[in-house]
Amino acid sequence: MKILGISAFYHDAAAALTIDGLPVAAVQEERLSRSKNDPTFPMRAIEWCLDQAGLEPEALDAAIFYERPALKFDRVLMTLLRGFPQSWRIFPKAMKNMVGEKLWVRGIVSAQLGIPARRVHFTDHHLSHAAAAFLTAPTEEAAILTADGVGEWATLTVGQGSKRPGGPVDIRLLREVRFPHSLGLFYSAFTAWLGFPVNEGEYKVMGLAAYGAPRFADEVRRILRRTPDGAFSLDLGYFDYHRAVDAAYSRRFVDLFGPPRDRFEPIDPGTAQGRHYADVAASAQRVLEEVIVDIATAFRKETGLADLCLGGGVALNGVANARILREAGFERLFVPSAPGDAGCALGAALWADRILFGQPHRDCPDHPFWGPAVEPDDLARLAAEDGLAFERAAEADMIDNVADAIGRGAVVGWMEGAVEFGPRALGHRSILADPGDAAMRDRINRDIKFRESFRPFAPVVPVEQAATFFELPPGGARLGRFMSGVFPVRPEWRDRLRAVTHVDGTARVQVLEAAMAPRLHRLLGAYSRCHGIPVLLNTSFNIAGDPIVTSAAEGYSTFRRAGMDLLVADDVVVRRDRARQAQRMEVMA
Amino acid sequence: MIRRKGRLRRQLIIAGSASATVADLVRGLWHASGGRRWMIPLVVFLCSLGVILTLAAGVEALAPFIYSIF
Repeated sequence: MKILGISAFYHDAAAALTIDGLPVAAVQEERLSRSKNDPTFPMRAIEWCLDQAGLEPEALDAAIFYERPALKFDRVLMTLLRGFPQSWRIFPKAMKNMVGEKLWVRGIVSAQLGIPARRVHFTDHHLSHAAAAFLTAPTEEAAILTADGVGEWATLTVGQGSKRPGGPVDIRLLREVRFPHSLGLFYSAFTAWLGFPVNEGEYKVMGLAAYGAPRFADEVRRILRRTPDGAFSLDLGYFDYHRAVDAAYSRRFVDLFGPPRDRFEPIDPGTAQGRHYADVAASAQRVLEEVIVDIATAFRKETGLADLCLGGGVALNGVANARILREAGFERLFVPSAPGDAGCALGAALWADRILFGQPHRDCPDHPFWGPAVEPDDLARLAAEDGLAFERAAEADMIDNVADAIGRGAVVGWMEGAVEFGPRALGHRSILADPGDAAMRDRINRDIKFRESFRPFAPVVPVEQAATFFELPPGGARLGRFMSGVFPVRPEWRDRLRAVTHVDGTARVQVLEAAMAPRLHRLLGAYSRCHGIPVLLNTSFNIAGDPIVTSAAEGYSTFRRAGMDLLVADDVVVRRDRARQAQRMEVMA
Repeated sequence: MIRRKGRLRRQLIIAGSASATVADLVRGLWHASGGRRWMIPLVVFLCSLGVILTLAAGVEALAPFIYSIF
């Protein structure tokens, strides 16, 4: 069966195509539209997925949307009515938003693709998350935990799934926490208070938390309370997201934690004000971890299952994931490469194949590379047009040269094959650099990525040597496969890994198996032979505010703008010619 | 390659499939626990409004008349 999965209209729209139960293409709309977290109907992504498979839309057996717009409308309407009279100001805006577009997804998909409306199907938002986490994981039976801001009504679900190759699939969501009580929205309120964009800056809160002490944990526990049934509830007096479109926290929240940060003011954790923000971030992070670890622990006892599949935006919190793995009792924790809403496109397509249409299960390839491939010829042409030197080298020579350049302080843009599906650069669209030089971290933050100085960079290490450098608990290598866990760097290596060791001695490490990205694996080996450690700094190939690059042209543009030293696209290598660039600037001046 | 339909044709398809969505909503409210059947007229009214606005966006000649109604 040919099934198209679609997620759209909230944030980070995406499309995914499965044929006979296996993914063949999946890409976020932002990677093609070049608009970060693009929420619009993913026409470019759909077209690319269909082109990739050589299909016309009429050949699709089904298109499935990742949530139920009618249920979502029900939630929005109920929330507005319950919030009356405070909600009257946002009523027209919310209604225009829902009945003007989002409610009519069946018609929109049918009209845009030219397929009959009867071929358009829907699934539940959290079922899409659960399917994305469970059906792509190499396990036959697992507990499932999903947590995000909000879907239709659910904000957190627990369930379990079973499958075996060639056999039937079963996914059951057993219990749920409903809007407005939400771990994702709780964390987003702190994100907004700290002056970061909601749905985008949550990972900055996690990074900032490492600089602080959880001095306000008791205050946060007053806001996020445990309930006798093992779930949680929010004290809604501290929040405004359920009655306003442009505010996440209320006046009481400000009374408790102080005035919010001006988003244009830099955060310096060295100042008293900066420490205050870091302490609040640390407190929110601590309490979030406590709640989710408790829920996972109780569910482990209830199910007795060894594996846990984690989905939803909260699963991007690597610190919480690592605590779940260490403390909840599960042996393995599976987080997909795209646990957020974009990943729901793939989850919905897999759910439709296995459950809606009852097809037997087939194990999915265990990698995240489902997007458009880079064209090295394009890079060669662009460099030639610009008069920049490029070379095509045999792979072994190219890898040795790049490893040598990194060792001498070069910052390398690394593009290889298909783009990653999900928010992490996992070795196909990465910026690579020396992990041992703290000045390198500052240079990349300040001159290349243009981002806050407190934000850490991630390391990538071959799975065979990961335990030498990082304190991985049992199952840690698996969690690190898609960079989903934060683990301590071994104290004896922290000095040699200064650029990738966060202030609290941890790192969000990518543990690389050779089969997943063989060229990057060989580069790590070459770097180890030259410089003694098989670890590189690996950060996403983009500038702050841009999506990760997709094509050779985007990579080349970012390379030129960000002042990187080397750009690699498969076998084509372009070097920056600093002398020539300076000469050009002089001529222009 | 996806063949693009004209704007009016797209809006008509969307309006044509709206009845199934509204029926879903009404069915959900009818069977909902907690006595929410009273919301059905409101939902039907809002959805009808949405369909009219959607159509208006597709039929430019119609738009001035519709906006003068509201």
